[in-house]
Amino acid sequence: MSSGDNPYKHIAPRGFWRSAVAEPGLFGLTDLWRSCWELPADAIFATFGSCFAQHISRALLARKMNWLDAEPAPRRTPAALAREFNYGIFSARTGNIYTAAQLLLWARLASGALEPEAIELWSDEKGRVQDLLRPKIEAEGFASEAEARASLASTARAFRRCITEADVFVFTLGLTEGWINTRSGQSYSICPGTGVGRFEPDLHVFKNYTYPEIRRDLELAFELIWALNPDLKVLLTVSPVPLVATASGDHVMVATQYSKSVLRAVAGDLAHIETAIDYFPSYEIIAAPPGRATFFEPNMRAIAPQGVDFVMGHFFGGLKLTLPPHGRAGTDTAAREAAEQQSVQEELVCEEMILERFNDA
Amino acid sequence: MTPEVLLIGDSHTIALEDGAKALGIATEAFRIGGAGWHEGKFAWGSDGIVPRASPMGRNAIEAIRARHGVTNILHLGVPVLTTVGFHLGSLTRGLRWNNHVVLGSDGVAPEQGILVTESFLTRYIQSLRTQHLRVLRRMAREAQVIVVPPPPLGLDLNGRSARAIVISLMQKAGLTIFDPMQELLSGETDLPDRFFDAEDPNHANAAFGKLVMETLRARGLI
Repeated sequence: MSSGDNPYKHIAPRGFWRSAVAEPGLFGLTDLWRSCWELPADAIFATFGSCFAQHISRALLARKMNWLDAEPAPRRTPAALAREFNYGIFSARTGNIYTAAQLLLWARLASGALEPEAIELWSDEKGRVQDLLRPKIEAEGFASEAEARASLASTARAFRRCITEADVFVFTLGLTEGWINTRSGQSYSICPGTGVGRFEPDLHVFKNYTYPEIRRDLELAFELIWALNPDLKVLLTVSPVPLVATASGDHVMVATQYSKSVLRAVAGDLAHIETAIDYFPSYEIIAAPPGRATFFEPNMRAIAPQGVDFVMGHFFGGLKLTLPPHGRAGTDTAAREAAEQQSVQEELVCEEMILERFNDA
Repeated sequence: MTPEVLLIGDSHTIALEDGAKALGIATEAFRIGGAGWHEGKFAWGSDGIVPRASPMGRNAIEAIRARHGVTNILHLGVPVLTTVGFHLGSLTRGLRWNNHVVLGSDGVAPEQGILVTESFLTRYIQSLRTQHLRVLRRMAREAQVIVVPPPPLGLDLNGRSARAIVISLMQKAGLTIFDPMQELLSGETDLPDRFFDAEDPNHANAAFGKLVMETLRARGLI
């Protein structure tokens, strides 16, 4: 560097707000994300995470890309029925995985470090059994504990397939807030008593996971995942969808910003230190100032389809599918068509939405 | 000759026809392949049940009509025995493709495959049998209809579950069911060897059909 020189003289226009954001405007934003990996032209993607993750699977399907459905519905299942039973929503029937702690549970189940017997079940007054890790996975619950456990084992096998067969594991971080069982330590998908289960104050406690806890859980999960497939790439995103409700005591907007900031920071740091992890800025594209909330629906929570398209445009624009195809298919044609049919529904499957029922205002 | 029974169904109806013949019970029979029934290649019209895309089936119906001077074969004034609605090989084919499995009655989780729950399988079967149930109900308004579920021959666990679910859906639809496994064999899970022949392990034989027809006659159902 010569005298009078400085590092900013060497930064490309994309590094300056005026030239990268202010002047091009929202729809002129370019080069927001460049994948740090070169992938096969037919790279297989597995998608999991919060509600927003469903947009990624839908977009992959819509583009006829290789989305892995490791637990498809049987052939000839009507699209509405498949959707009702959560087939084709994520790459396995995990339901929403909102927190890093839940992802760690699934990684443990898939690796065999945890048996399905460890997952808490709950029987309702009709004798139907609910799986508290996937409280809405079966519309009417399971017929028996044995069936619930067998289903968990089946989904764990499918989740394992997603790890061993995919090229890219896309995980959308959704929440820092969750509930845990003080006795077993199990993390819940939703607070017991809000949809399934019965809330017991001494047993069920609120947990707002901190940066170190989330990072530790993700690192442990990825350690298990890479033990199964050392070549798997992990693409992290943060959902831009605000919280339905917070149990933190804070205003929900403040709690949302805290939650997203922590998740964003963890995702960014992991992507910086680990070459097999990348971060895609779906959160920024929707929620950062240039968006002026353009892509939010009037409730300022739901993301409009145009916003999803915009995000996915940047996603596909930044992917580098430049390597020769490996010739492996993620999902057979019929299962893929079935998933496509059910994915055209506008509504997302989102267990968290149940919390709005308890808003008396 | 005026028939005493009308048989409507598929290859599983043959055992009942043979049994009736052995007992000297006069029958008329209308059969098409199980795949045709499964695919819904039949309709309900003003002249009763009619096969679609099955010239042989249509000819069979026309022949019965001509022989007895009726426009609707359900108006023969005789009881109708039917195996329509099962066709379990076809019904569970969609499960086999990606190795979907139901939980066995022993409750032991399968070590491989994709588990489908009983409630999902019930809804799945319901979606594939809507037309069958509707037409069977319509038939039951025109005649005394008794559904005779084929015995569980050549069926895997999915097929056996599907058989039980179809029976349950039919019962809920108000249809009269005569399940030989319950009525004649005290709920045994497998059909005894004497009721099927080694060269055709998927269908019951005339001895089975004879026992069914004898019992139905003894109970005054035909």
